[in-house]
Parts: sequence; C-alpha cells; structure tokens
Amino acid sequence: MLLKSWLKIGYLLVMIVFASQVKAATPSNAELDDLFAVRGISYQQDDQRGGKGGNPHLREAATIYEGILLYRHRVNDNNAVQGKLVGDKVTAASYDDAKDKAEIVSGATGNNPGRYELQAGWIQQHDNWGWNASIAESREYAYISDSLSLGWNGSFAEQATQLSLQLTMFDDWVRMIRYDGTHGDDDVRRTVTLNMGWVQSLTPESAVQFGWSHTHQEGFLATTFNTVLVESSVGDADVEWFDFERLPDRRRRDALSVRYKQAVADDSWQLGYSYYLDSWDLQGHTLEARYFAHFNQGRMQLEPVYRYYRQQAARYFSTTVAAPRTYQTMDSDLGKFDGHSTGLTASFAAATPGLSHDSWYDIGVQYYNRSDDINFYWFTVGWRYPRQ
Amino acid sequence: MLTSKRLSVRVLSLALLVTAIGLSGCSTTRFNERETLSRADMQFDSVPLQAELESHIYSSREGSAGAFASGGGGGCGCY
Repeated sequence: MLLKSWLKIGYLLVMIVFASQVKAATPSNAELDDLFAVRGISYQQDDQRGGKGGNPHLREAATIYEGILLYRHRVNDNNAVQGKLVGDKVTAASYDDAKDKAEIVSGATGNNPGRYELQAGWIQQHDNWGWNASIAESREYAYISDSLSLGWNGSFAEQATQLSLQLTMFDDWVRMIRYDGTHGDDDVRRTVTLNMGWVQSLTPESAVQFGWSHTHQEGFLATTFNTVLVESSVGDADVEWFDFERLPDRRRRDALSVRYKQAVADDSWQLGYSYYLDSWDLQGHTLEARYFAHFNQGRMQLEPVYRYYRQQAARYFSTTVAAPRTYQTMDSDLGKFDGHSTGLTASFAAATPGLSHDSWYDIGVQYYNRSDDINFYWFTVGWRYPRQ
Repeated sequence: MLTSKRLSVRVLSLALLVTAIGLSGCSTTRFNERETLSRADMQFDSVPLQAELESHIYSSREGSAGAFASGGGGGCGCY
C-alpha cells in the first residue's frame, strides 16, 4: 500500500516536471509576434595604395549610408504580415570619375545618389510547418529590380529535424550607361535562387545546419560602367585604350555550407564552412567562427566574429589584356584574393521610453581586409521592439 | 575541368544529404529536452536583419554568394 502511494507520488512528480518542460519548449510561433526594428549602417570602403588596390585602373573608394525599417504585425495565432523599407545613399569614386566624362552618368551621383527597396510579405506558421511569401521592388538610377519569394519550413521528429526551402526570383532591368557616357539599349537580368536548409539537433546542447544554395542567372551579367584596359603595341609605339567589360549571359552558382552550434552554459559558439563554385570557374571558401557571450541574466550579449574568405579568379578575369577578348573583366571582385573579417556586436535589453516592454539595442562594427588592398568597414546601430 | 568540379559539388551534396539523414536517425533529442536549443542565441541567424546585411555586403565585394544566408545575386546593381 505504502509502495503504491510512493509510486503514485513519484509518477505525479515526474509528470509535473515533464509537463513544465514541455510547456517551456512548446512552439510559441514567436516569429509571428509584433516586431518593429530600425537599423542604420555606415559603410566605408578604402582603395589602398593611392587608388591602385583591387583594380589598379579604377578608383574603388566608396561610402554608403543605409537605413532599414522593418514592421511585422501578428494577424492571428498563425498569420502575420511584414513590411520592409530600405534606403541607401551612395558616394563612389568610380561614379565621380564617370561624372567628369558624361553628364548622363552624373545623374547617378548628382541627382539620384541612392537606392530604395520596398518589401511586403505574409508569414503563416503552425506548430510543425509554415510558409511565407513576399514581393519586393528596388530602384536605383541605373537598375530596377522586382522580386517574388516563396518559402516553406517543416519540423519533424519532435522538432529535432527542421527543413526549409526558399525560392526567390528576380526580374531586373539594367540601364546601359557605359563608362564613357554612351548609352546602349537597356537590358534585363533574371535570377532564380533556391535555398535549402536542414537544421538537425544533435544533443540537447548542440545542432548542425546544412545548406545548399543554387542560383541560375541569365541576361546582362556584366557591370555596365566597368572597363578593361587594353595595352598593346603598334610598331614601336605602345597604345592603350579602355574597352567594355564583357561576360557570358548565363551563370550557374552553387554554395554548400555546414554550420555547427554548441551551447556552453549560458553562452554558445558557432563554426561554419562554405564552399562555392560557379560556371565561370570562380571558387570560394568561407570559414566563420562566432561566439555569443551573455551577461546580466541575458540582458546583454556580446558577439565577436571572425571570418576567413578565399577565392580563385573567374576564368574571364585578367590583370592585363593585350587584345580585346570575347569575354573580359578586370573587376577585382572576380579576381583572386583572400580576406579576413573581424567584428563585434553588442546588444543590450533596456526599457523603451514611453512603451511598456523592453527593447533590444544593438551596436556593431566589422572590418574586412582584402589581400588586394581593398579594405572596408561598417558600423551598425539597431533597435528592436519589443524584446523577445 | 568544370565537369569534374560540378561532379564534386554533386558528390558533396549527396554526402551532406546522407550525413543529414543519418544524423536525423541517430538523434535522441526529445521535445522536452529542447529548452537550451530554443534559446535565441542557439538559432542560426537569430537576427535576420543582421544576417541579411552581412550577406549583402559580402556578396557585393566577393565573387561568391549564398555562403550561409539566402541570396545568389540579383536585386541590386551592386553585384
């Protein structure tokens, strides 16, 4: 009799503990909760060696200021709507050079130095599956883009396995303004990207993520105002002139990635590797490490990051061109280089003046050093309400 | 050369798929053991705006795209 009573009490205790843990882990669909976020970015790019870094024939210094507004509103238990507005102000040395050559290009700097993007979307999330859809349009002086994105996610095996698919299609319009001010026929660029993700819980404190991104691009894939310096000789005389950048009108791009996340008490660390390959023979390797340190009962977080990147040049890239080629580029972004990036983001939870809930305040800085002497850094300041 | 590289990508994809399926079969992480895994810092890209921003900057200044976040070009004249 006594044994039966203890068994009953034990059973009840186990059930109470078990039930409380289940409640803590029940999906709250927090990704649907109301959210208002603001973010500001200041980006500065330096062209080292007196403008000879990267492409030595092009000044690549640039300054970009960007602002982002994001608003998400929960409609009911399973649905939310979301809108995003992005605005950029760009000052680039290459545009300034072009401005001296052609009034038509000056519009990109003088009158329309910016870019904006509007995005509207719908999110539906249930306990074990969800989907999302969004449309967006962005405009800048010589480029307009319309896009549609559709996504699905599913959880299996008591949420130990999470799958996601995201299909994004861009229909872009390129205004053909050349470096010398000539204006060709406008062209199009179409991009379809399929991202697949698989997050797998390994232990109660660790998880791994596998990702595959496949992209197919068609249309005008060069940069309209990019140039190639042709250096040849006629008789005893050396002659040189600028020619257009020309690249194939198709590009297939694949990126495979794996990331591992491990909790260490209240902190966690993350390690990731990605391999990239495209049909222009450009290969890239990315290694990234992050640490998430928490203080003050989780009301403050520090996130240091280090990222190493290495790429081999696309087959059409060259630093010297003796005669015009069918496909040619001196765009340093398609050349061979490696890069080291380090950064730190600090996030604080604090009261929100005039509002009932706490907010997250973010401030961060990141510095990127490229081996071909193109260096850049950016500052971010963010606010997210309410604290989640 | 390109063919062999493409083959490598496919072999790697298949290897990842098989590994993932294997891991999912071995997983013993139950629903009631997910308290730590549910923490915000245990999510990959828990602040999407930050992840998107970083991905956008890297894709603009590197030849590759889509390393850890969505996006493979398109949508911006900066690529």
